[in-house]
Amino acid sequence: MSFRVYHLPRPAGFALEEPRPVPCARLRDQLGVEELMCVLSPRQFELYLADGAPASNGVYVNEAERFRAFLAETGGAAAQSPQCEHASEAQALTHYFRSALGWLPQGERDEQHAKAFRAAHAEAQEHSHLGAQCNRLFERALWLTEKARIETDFFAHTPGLATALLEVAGKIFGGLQNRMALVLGNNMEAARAAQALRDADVGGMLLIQKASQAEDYLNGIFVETARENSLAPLPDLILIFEALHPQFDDPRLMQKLMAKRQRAPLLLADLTGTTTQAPAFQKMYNLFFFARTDLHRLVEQNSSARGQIENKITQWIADEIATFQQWLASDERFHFGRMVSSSPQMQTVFEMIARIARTDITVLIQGESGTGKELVAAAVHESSGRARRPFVVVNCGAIPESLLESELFGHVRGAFTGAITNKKGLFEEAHMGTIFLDEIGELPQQLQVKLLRFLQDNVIRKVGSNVNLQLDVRVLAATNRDLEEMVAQGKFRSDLFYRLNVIRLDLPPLRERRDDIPVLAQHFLRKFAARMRKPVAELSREAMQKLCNYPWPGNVRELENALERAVALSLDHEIAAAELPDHLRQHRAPALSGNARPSLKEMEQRYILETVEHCGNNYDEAARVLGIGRTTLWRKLKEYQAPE
Amino acid sequence: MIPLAQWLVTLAYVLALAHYVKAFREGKDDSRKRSWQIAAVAIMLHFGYLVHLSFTIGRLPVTSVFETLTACAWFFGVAYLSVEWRLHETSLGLFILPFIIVLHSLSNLFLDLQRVLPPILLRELVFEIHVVILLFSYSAFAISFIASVLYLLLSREIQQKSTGLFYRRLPSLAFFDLLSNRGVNIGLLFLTLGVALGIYEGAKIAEQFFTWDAKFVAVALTWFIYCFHLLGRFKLGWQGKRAAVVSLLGFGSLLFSFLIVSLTLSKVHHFR
Repeated sequence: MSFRVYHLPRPAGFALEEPRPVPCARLRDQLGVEELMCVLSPRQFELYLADGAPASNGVYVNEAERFRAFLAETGGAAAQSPQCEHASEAQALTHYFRSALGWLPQGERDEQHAKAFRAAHAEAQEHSHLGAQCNRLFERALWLTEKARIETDFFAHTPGLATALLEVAGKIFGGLQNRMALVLGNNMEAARAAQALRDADVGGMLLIQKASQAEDYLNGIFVETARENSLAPLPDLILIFEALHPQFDDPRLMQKLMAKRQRAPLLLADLTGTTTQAPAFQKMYNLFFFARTDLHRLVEQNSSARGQIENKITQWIADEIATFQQWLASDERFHFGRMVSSSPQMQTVFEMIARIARTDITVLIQGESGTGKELVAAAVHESSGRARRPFVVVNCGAIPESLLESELFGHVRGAFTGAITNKKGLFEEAHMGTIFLDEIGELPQQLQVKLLRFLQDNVIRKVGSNVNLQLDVRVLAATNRDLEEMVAQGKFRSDLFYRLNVIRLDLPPLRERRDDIPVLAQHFLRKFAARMRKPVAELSREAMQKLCNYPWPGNVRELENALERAVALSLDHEIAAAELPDHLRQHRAPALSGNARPSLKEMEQRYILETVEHCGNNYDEAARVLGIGRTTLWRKLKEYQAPE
Repeated sequence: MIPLAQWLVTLAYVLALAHYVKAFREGKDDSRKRSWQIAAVAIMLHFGYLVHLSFTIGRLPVTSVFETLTACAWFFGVAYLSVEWRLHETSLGLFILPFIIVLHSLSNLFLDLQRVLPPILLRELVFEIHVVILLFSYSAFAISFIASVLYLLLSREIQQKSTGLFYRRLPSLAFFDLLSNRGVNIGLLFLTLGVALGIYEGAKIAEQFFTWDAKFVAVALTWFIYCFHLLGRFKLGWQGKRAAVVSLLGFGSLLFSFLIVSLTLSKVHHFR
């Protein structure tokens, strides 16, 4: 029983009774079923199994089988939310943190579980993209686990019977790698102990399930053979779960066994609870005897010592949850560096940045003009260890080709006409820091070679110099052109492309992430209002609708400019649609654009409102164009206004 | 200057010990690391002190009782640090540091810096090597002794099925068994070497290999006990408790020969 998927927190357990309605509802919507504990999705669970465990391992296969049966019964866990286990969100979150610690309510506490939790999450991260909320939770959970490990004795205490046994064995033998275990018994407990031993990498194990096997084994050891050592291996640990053979309860047998083993330390655990020979075993030299009651006492002693620690950790978890809910309710979670976004696509990008920033890996940022490529580069720089070092931005398209080389790499005195002094290149300026090459597609061919050489050997050569200069610069590149196609056309060197393309961040255009428009608009509104000292607080409903319907060919930059203009023009605390730029105001949403599939009713509403506007609020004209009666139009318009 | 440095070193060791006690009680990784670092600093301080002492007296500080005790304390410290470094096990420091502190403080009692030169024989390089080798073997035996004591304590706790502090903080019985055995192996090797060197040099002067002097007898006894330990393990298959008890006996005999016999009973070994 190495991992227990069913005990992991069920995401659907969020919030039947909600103490704080707004954040709870939001959390439930955003986390979704698969998101919080992605292992619960059957596909991911299978991937997890396929990657994490060899097929020959019987236990894993059985576990998978059981899981499939479970899915068949419940009709698919991913499709249908499982039963709610938790009364409130806080409770569900508590359970989440506790699972990370391997601390579960019913006796089944062990660290194996915590390991499985992590592995599952890591796998899910590989195979899908978790939301920012989930990642934050997970990171906090890991952090909490580490804190518990460093600051308390939480993991030093034995949680269960099987682990108590393992702990005692560890105290006697150190590692179990070279030890031989003998497990007697054919019940669940014996199987569990066997699995625990296997997980602890025991050197060898013999599982005896029948009396006849026990008989054979004893014969194998003690029957006189030509050689002094018989073939059957001699045990270092004997765990008796069932009294299969009377001899195993006999001190004389143990004496003989000890003599044969040269009296090396032996752990004998009798978990049947029926032994009468305990005092005799206790007295034997180098024999460590544990009865069932002894092990129970160990567990009890540990749990009383654990009580205080558990209280402390409970408090930590409560603090964690409070911080999390605060974070969730605030706008902070949409921010990353100087970027703002609430869309899942950008959250993925943020997560990627956070992951790669610490390395020195080369990053290629691709995205349309105005999607914030430079902001991404700045975020990479600022989250890296080079944050305090220079960040040099070069727009390769903005510098004339003839000057670009000496700009980038510098030149020495007399390299060409007009080179009267030595000049440091931008690469040299960026030493120990980051250089960001915008519009990398505009880089001329011979400079591409030079850049490639730098990426491979970290050396540059100034124009006119024959000395190599070793530099430590991280390169980030960006382009709004399709480099792959340029490679195919022979305009861009393929070797440089592959060298740059180690990590690629694709920034989706704004029209593909419309969720971001309101968040961004609000952000810019606040920014410009503060800068222009205007009391503008919000966008009118109509203006917001306009913004959301516009395709934004210029992406975020265009949005920013539109908002700047609107704030400058606004007279009120609210921005009206009239204050938006003309082309934006006059843009008509195409009947069916992109992936959004509005309902018939929505389409009707949109069309009617547009027509009314087109006719300059002349209802007679509008009714004629629409081909409906004037009263019908009036009724419909009233209907649309009603929810406001 | 020397007495002041002496106290400073003692203070550093006491500070390290205090940190070990704290780390043992709380079981936190960072305090464990800090105590290790403080112990290392104390041992380096001690080394500086010994170097200073050597320059003051103009030879290695291994001749008078005062010098030998503090040098011996330093050797213990180095042996302990190397064990900790090799085996990544910091729980031993708590038990070795008191030893070092006691030896080092004892040396205070015999503090004499008179410029009287020792007898001519004791100024020879061979003699100094003889003493250094023996000090090395003593520190190996000391490690073995402490490992054996901890083996017995831990084994008792396991037998009584109580999860005390020892049970929680100490490594396994197998670890102590191994450490104790290695200590005896190394110690015995160097003891044999050192004694052989001593006898060889002594015989040159006294034209006699062995006298029934108390020092000689006590060292011979120690040697036999440790040989017995070796024999027991390899021929009789002793493990654990019995080996540990023999190691304790051996160390008792060693202390006896080192401290009491050298100071009071022996006549010949002073070479006066």
